[in-house]
Amino acid sequence: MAQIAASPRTPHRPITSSPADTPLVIAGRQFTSRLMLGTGKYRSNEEMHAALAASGAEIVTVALRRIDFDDPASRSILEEIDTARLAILPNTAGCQTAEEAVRIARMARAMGLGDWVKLEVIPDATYLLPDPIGTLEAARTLVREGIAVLPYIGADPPLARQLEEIGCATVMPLASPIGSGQGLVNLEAIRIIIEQATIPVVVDAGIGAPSDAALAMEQGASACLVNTAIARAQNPALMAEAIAEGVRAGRKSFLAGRIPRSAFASASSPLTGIVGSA
Amino acid sequence: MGAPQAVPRLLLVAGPTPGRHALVALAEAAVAGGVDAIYLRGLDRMAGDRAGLVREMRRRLGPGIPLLVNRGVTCPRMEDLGLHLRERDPIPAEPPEASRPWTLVGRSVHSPESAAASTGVDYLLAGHVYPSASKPGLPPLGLATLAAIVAAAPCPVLAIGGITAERVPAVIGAGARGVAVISAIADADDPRAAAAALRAALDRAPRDHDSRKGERTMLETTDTRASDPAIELVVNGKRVSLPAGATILAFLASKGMTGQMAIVERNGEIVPRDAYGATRLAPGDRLEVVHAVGGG
Repeated sequence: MAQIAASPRTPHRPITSSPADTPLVIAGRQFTSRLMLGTGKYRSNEEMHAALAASGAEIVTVALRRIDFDDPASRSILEEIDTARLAILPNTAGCQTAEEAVRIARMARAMGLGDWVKLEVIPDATYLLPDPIGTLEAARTLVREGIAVLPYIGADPPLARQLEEIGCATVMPLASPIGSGQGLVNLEAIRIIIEQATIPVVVDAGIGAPSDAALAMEQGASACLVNTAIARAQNPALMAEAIAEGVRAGRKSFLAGRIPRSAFASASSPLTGIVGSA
Repeated sequence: MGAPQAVPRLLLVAGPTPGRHALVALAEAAVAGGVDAIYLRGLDRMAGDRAGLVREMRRRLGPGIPLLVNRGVTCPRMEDLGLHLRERDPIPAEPPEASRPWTLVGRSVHSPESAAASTGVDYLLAGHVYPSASKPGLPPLGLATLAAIVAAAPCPVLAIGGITAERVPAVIGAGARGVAVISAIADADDPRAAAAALRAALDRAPRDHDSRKGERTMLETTDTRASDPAIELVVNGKRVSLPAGATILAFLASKGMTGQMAIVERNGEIVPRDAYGATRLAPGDRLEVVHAVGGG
């Protein structure tokens, strides 16, 4: 990490401390924001719009579901979202097998909003933990079909490496189970994934608060994806802003290069010239 | 009365405006090229011997080609004529079949609501589907509204307005039985060739699975309307009954959707959005129709 030389300066002239960050590049698209938002679970469209605006997110996820023809109020969420301004990342949520996920990914591509998909193969309804074998299998098929695959995975470094090798656009390890708000229970494993990956690592699921997002970004995660923590906050827009600040703070910390942890103290004040009694 | 006549697939609308070709010669050339009905519009505004014109036209076209006129036009031997109602015209109460004076009754409509209210007629003329020189400044209906009209109509629908041979597959795909044209034939250098090109396009376009809907005569249409041929299919896991020959676009339009937001998988194959209008549903089809919802 580049060191910023401390230069003599007058105390009244603020300097910018941020080195120019590189854009986040996923599947050939460039993004400035490193916070992605899910669009589920909002109490109202108004709260969702306010949160999307406050978050500064440039990528939002959507799911695909059957149209309920008996319900005239059944609307596509894309009627609510400005797709010219926000990139729409469809997911395969609800798919329990590789076959189902491939089918939904193909349907998602037919939306015409980009050849990319957040791949979810989740057979387990209690913890919503993804099936690594099904995910790898579906990812292989979709990559072959030219779809950029962003797989949602457990924090499993060897799996992340295999997914990168077969050509996935990112890996999206979970911090903790979806919607649980437990934060980064897999911090060390995520750190290893980040260390080994050359594709963007997006920490997805389980983030509950800005500190969780900041911690993920401090490790060098490329981005965070947050849904429940914002949608279910008492004030979603304010929480969106707070988490966006957490993401930015964590990113800056990573770029700034934090100090190593030490078992012992290291005094911040000079140890010489201490006023003595001698 | 004249014998009931079949609903046409290629209708020429000929008006009093002096065209490039004399009216009778134009009609003859059009029929030679494949036009199967002539609607003589605005006869009441036509100068000269109207009765003579109609008689001449009737004689030259032969008995097999319906010749339709507007309401309020009176001339001798009306029994050999069809009636075309403008949208503002009242729909006549359906007379007893035996005394029905017209060989064929059509009506112009501009909306699904108007189409749904068109009982007792044999066909509808829906337009203008595309921008048309005949309707400057008025927005065209577009294919989705045409499909909605087809879905709402109790009888076959012909598309009118800006129709060219190239556009025939799209309007047939949207569920129209045929097309009606004015300038595409009347302003052509060779009206016969222009009619033939339209006819060929119609013949190439996929037909209804059950083409009887369009072929039925006035009497049959009235008698069997209650038992319209229907097909059963499964949409999103539920049994659905649709009119035979319905397209995906017509199905979506009947549900108040344009197709912009819907992704359709038919029997396991994704249907490209621009093919919704041309994809006819068949009995036993299994459709998955999905859209994007909020998700993480």
